[in-house]
Amino acid sequence: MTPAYEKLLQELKQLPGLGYRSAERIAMHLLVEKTDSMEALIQTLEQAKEVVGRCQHCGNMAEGELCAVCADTRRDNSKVCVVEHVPDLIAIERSSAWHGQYHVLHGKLSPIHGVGPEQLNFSSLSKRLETDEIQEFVLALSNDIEGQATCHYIQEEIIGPRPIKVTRIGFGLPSGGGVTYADSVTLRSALEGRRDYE
Amino acid sequence: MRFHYLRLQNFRNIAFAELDLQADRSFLVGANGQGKSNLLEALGLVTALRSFRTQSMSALTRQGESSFAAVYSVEHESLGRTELEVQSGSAGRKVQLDGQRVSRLGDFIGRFPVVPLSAGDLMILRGAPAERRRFVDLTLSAVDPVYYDALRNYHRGVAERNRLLKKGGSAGELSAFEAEIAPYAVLVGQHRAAEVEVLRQHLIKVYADIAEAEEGPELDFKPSVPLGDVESYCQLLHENRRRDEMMGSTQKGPHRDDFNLCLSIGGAREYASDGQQRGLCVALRIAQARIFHDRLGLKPVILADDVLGELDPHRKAGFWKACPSDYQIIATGTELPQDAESWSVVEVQAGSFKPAG
Ligand SMILES: [Zn+2]
Repeated sequence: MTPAYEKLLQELKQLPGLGYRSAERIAMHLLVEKTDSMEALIQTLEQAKEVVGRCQHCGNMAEGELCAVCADTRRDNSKVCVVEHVPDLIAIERSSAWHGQYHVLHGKLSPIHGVGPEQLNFSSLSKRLETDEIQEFVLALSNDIEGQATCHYIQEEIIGPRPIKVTRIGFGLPSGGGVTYADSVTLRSALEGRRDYE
Repeated sequence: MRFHYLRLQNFRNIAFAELDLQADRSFLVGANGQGKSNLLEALGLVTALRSFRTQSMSALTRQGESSFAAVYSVEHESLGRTELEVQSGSAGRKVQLDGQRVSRLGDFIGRFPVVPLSAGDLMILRGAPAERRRFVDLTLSAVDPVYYDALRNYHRGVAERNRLLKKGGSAGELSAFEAEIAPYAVLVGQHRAAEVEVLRQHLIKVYADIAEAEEGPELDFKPSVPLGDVESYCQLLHENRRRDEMMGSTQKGPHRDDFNLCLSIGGAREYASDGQQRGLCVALRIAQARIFHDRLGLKPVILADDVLGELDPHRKAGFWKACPSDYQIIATGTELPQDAESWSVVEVQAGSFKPAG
């Protein structure tokens, strides 16, 4: 154990999903066991940090201004699926049940966690309502009170009286569950069985 | 269901204990403070991962240790012979059913029904409304996952709304949460009204066995707001915004409901004698056991913590009349019961447990 090793260990422990044990294993691996992989990793990290950002249009991960989905001309631009996080979008893409566009909020309304409308990607959603010819929104947010309140907020405060069809998935999703961890079959049936938002 | 054995580690004053519980009736005898109630408390965790003696799970871990573990071997009507393991401590909680991790409490609650009777039950009568809500909520949650889910969402929603009230959230945010709270509030209210009526009917029948005379026990649901539909509830929340903002929290709703327990002479808290109060508590618990049995199709285990010895002979006889004879009973006391020969006796001393004889 050296001061530099300790510092790296502390940094790694801050990463989501890493406990002390895994952080220790990674630090050992990088510093002691396989020093030659280190250079490549540092380079990759730096490069990724440089080029990966947010899609200006939908909030998805992107290299450049637009993400791969927004840039894809074969997608149905009149339909937009709203999700909380990028991994939700990836999960739905993997189910190949959706051919429309997305909008990533980067969270859900939760006053307890200090998340209000200003913290979410709503401003670009309002912009899209003006510019894109959207006919349908599918709200694929978590099946809990915060997800439900966020759906309500989008319907009432963002979309308002515009004649746009709004549905929300929920069918088959376990109560309290998020989109990312649902399996493809569940997600497909959830998307197909979406119901009108009252 | 029935307990077959229990293995405990670092639970309260018990460093390690292993106990055979196969008898229909087990009696743990020992002086106060030796660990009898602690053991019963550990058995009581299996219904909802809640202690019947404290609301703090951290109080259950032995001093100087970081977590406790309890392994239960259970004979279960639908699961057969099952091993249940509960670990809880500073690093969180872990429940395993036959080696399979149970991640959601909602999937677990009510699968292993036990009914604890203790002196603490008097708080249901004498304590704040929260004590009565806790009793009703646990009973209803155990028999109905829909209720459990609605209650959880309701409380969560109210907590979110309270934060908005404190920090001055926008009208749009308040509306969004209120609209989603309302259906859960209505569901919780409807369930409470219906199920408390069922509980009331059981209570009246059971109490008739226990009481010395016709004492007319009653149990009423006293909702904080009149039961209505989702829309009217939404409107109520909207109308109360100003007041709630001033008070800093949501003032009305199912989280303020109460339940009134009384005898024909008047409210149980004010008018009933000590013996009547104890009798009512026992009747409430047996009524709870009957609901568990009816709704879950499982015979609950009765955990009687120093309660039977405190009842007068008439009410004690009433308890035995009201409690189905095929329920497993695990009881504690500082002295052996008079019918000691019908119990499998365990002597308890300083956190260790030895079968007598
Ligand atoms: Zn995009």
